[in-house]
Amino acid sequence: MEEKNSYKKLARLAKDYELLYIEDNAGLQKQALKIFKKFFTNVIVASDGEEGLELFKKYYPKIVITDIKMPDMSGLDMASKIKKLQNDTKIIITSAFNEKEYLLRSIDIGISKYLKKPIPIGELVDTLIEVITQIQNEKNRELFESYMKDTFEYQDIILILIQKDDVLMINPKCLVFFAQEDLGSFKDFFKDFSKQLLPHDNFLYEKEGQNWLEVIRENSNKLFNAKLRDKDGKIRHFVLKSTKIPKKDDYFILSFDDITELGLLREEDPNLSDEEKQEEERLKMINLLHVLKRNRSKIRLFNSYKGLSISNTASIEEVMENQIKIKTTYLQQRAIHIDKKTTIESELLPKALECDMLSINFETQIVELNNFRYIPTLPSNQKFVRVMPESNSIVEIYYDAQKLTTDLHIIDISLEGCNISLKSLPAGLNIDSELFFKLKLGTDKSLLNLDTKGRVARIKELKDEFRVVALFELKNDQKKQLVDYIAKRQMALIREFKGLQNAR
Amino acid sequence: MQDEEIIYEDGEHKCIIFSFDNEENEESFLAVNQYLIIQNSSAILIDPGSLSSYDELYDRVSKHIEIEKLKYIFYSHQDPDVAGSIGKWSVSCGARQIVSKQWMRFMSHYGLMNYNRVFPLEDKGAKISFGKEYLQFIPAHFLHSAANFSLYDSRSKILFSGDIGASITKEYGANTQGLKFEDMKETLLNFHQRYMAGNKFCKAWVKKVREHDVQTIAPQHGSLLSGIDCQKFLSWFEELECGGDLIDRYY
Repeated sequence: MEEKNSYKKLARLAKDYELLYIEDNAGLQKQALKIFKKFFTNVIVASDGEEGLELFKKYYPKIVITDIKMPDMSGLDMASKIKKLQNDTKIIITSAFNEKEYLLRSIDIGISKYLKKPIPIGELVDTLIEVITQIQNEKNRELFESYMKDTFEYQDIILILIQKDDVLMINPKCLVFFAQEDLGSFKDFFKDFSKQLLPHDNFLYEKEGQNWLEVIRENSNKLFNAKLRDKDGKIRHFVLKSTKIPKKDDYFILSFDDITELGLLREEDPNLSDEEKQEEERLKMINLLHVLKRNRSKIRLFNSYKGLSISNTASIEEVMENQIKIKTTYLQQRAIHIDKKTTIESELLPKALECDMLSINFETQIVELNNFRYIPTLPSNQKFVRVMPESNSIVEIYYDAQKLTTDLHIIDISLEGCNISLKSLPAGLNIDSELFFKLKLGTDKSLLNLDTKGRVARIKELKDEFRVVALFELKNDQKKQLVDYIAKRQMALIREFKGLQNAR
Repeated sequence: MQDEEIIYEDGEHKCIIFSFDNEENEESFLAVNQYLIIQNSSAILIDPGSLSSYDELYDRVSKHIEIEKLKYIFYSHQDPDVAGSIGKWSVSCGARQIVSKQWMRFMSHYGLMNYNRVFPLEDKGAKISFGKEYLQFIPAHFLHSAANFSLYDSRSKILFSGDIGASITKEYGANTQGLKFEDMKETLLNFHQRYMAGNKFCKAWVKKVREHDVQTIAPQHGSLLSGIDCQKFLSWFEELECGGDLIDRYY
């Protein structure tokens, strides 16, 4: 049964490999060939070392099985030459002799295995499985290491290379943290890994209808918070990410960055003074930006041009004491240049982070930002497209059947409602007050006449004006007219913005 | 004329076909099918079509679900009969617009500059899970568009195939359910030979599609292909010589 399983395993492993087999005994060659062909799709055969070397130069097979004593060139001479051509070739020697001299030379050349003839088939199969597994591990290690260098700049991150659900490779940090001996024991440990992820609000862990590995795989490059216990039972806070390896189907690197020291899970110390609290907040914020940078995590930037939201991703290039350098698209740079500020969002930041533009370089695509402050609203939550109406729009607003006579204009309008600027607030106007709007928006050619009721949703007092957000109560045909107006205005604003962009 | 029909329903999950946006052709009309998948209280709209079809589709979709509840709008590729109405749909609701990453740079021409509203698909596609079920975006590049996706819904087992499987016929959409593959073969042949880039792509697409249990193919033009006809189509398409395979016809 066990034998049958290893045959199956070899058949599965060997199908993508070529084998070069060198044997001068015709009878033996024929017999062995029959066996090899059951496993390998392509078997190349030679009858002496010289022919073997020529065929190797032609096909560069990864595995070579050779006899030692042959007429023109011995198996060991050939093996030595092959190793010089392609050092990672796996060579298996088969010999009727057990002489010390041969064995020592084999070690010097770097032979993978020395098998004594007659070779029991079970031993041959096991050897081939071992050799192919070795080749695959070397390949995975290469991939893992080259990719690690590109993706992470921080050696202390736990890294696991997986293909579908299988662990292929791990780094030493992973073994140490999870107190595992080797890759084999970690593979077993990983089968039940979901148990390691402790439940916590908005963190990643296994729950009904949610397989943690599937979630993280489907959201490549997204950062997740996770809570795990270390080998001493202490709770650690990690940032988890899966990075898809390009052009390799189903290959991912899982990374666990320990951010416990940032103290995000810690309760706030009530004995701290306001100043100390502020300083701690600021440090946490800078540290989070560091974590985003070392995980090469993309952040999202939000700006607006006359109400129209402009959003792109960016990467953090440098984090300094009080400022950061980011790299983003040209379009976003233009928007930042007009706004003189931008807002950053990331799944790792507790709120949206507004900051000012310090400098901008269109050639290097770098923007320097400083003066960070958390703001209460998330720009990504903005559901509806907003636009600022044309300056010649006519806006009449009625409250309690009286037309408002104060200076007012619409900052932006969406399908949901509008944001109005008023010099003064009429007496009695409150949240939920009913308003009536008579709007004439747009140009003569495409004028939108909109008469509708609205309700006050928010009132904000600024330095020398009030901002009132009102929600419309639209009929279906009015909705469509407004969609039409906003879509056209949106295009016009994009053209206007691009005009500015080209005029730089 | 019936131009709207529920093609799958099980109490929690519903797929609806709309087919009323006709493209005038010299000899026939090219009917454009739009699809809506509703799962409980959220929905995905598939290839909503041109600007001219916006108003009517808006009304039709509203009958099934509030427009605000659209969670995603999927555009298989960038042709005007698929994506012409991106600007208007982006204003109408907060749905995320799913398009190929390759078309991102053109989004501003359709009136979209807020890339936070866009779900860009990598070339190899993506999967969106909901419970045990999932939506799989299957690469269909160069069939015919250079960056193109089909959408498989694991619950209804319907593959929304975009231009693949499209037939130019006077009969269209929901009216043609029941048309057999053999009846459509000729119109399928003409369209696919001319519009699809080559057999290599057909084979690669069929291989990907066969990873899923597809029972119905729902193209953007013409009739649905179900059951055995769906399988017959896949086998036919896998072997089809088209585009570059027939280069002497075109150069």
